[in-house]
Amino acid sequence: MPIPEKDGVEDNQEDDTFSRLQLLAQQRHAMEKFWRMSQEQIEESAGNEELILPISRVKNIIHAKEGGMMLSADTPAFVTKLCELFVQELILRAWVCANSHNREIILGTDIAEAITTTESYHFLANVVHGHQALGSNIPEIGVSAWKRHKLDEMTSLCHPPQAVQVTDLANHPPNIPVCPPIGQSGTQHTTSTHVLMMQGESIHKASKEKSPLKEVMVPTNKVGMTNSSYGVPNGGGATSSKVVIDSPKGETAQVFSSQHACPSLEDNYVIPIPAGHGDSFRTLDEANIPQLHQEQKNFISQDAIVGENIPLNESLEKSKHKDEDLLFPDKDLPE
Amino acid sequence: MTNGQDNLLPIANVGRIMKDGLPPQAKISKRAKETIQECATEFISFVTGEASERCRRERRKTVNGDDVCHAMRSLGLDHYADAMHRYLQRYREGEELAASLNSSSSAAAAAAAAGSRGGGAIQIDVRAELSIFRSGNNQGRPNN
Repeated sequence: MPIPEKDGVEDNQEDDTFSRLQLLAQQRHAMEKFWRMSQEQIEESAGNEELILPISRVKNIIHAKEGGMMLSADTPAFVTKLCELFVQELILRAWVCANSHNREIILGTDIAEAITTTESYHFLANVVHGHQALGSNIPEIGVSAWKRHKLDEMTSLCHPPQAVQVTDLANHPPNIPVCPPIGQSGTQHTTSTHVLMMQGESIHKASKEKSPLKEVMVPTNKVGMTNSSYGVPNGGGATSSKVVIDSPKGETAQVFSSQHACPSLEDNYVIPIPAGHGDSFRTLDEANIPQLHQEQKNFISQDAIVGENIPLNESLEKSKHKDEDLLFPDKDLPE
Repeated sequence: MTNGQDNLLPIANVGRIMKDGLPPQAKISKRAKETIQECATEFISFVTGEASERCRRERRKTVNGDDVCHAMRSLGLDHYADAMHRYLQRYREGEELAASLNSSSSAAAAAAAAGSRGGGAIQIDVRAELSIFRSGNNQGRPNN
């Protein structure tokens, strides 16, 4: 094989030139051995050996480009054998290239290098260039796999928020009496509906499990909140004093955020915004008076529930009655 | 180039040919196999295109092995031309040997044998004689 002169001119460094000449010498030696073995194989086989590539596929390839030409009977088998020699010769050149880089695995770059260093294979340069362009799509497949992995992680994260929501249901009753100053007019209806549903469920559970906490809730609302959140009455009392001293609302929000995931923060934003409190900021002082009466009614109904130990069905009726009382502030909004 | 996967060689067969030509410890990446798969397809199209072009210049309508050999020489693939020229000679010697063995049998058996040697397609005697005649002429031309 003639050595490409352009390559000799381009490589001015002696090391590159020496390594390139060494590569070409190794290729020439390997090719001479290959062709000798091929000739011997052809002499032995007498043309009757089985071909590895399917002749029908080779015919399709020939007719795809030269559909009009006719082929003699021996041409498809002849071209198939020719193609097998080509594949073996090209992969052997690539193997020499891989060895020159101290590798035993042949990569696509070795094929490209073998084609570049062989003058009679320059018609394949476009194929290699196109294949490299196709190769750029491979990382996208990896990206999609990475996305699927992330989606699986997100799916696994869905379970804790549900548990958090259940916990929020248990913690909901203490938040209602606190009535934080922040309020939004646009979402009053949605928040009121949400608060009503949460209140009903929470009261039902509280009446089942935590009847003594109700007695504690009557004198001070904040103490009741802390008891229900921590579960230990004595410890709750101690922490309640600290919470009151150190801006209790902020700390309660931080506690929720540290313990649970983002959905709990959303619940914190939604729950402390009752519709009645929003009215107190926007309407006149005259409107505050009915609200205060409604709050007193709520306390009276709670005392009745705790004192008389009413059964579950009657407690549900009481919760419905409370819902009706809470619905009343929404009617004041249009006025 | 190719019109899709239907006109590509099967990558399993191509991979097997690669393995046969390499040492046992050699490994081939998937991308290298795909690259050679496409190069082999392009090689077939390129060589047969050159061979058919030669047939058009000489006002012939059938491409045969000699045309492919000449195409390879004109493309600088001399090693392939030498190897396949010898392959073609051995191939035809095999056919002549089979024909001589079948000469003592009946005409129907000879036709069936010709069909099997042709790859399952039954050939007309006139066409076979013409192809042999043309191949004889083609063999004579390089000597001139």
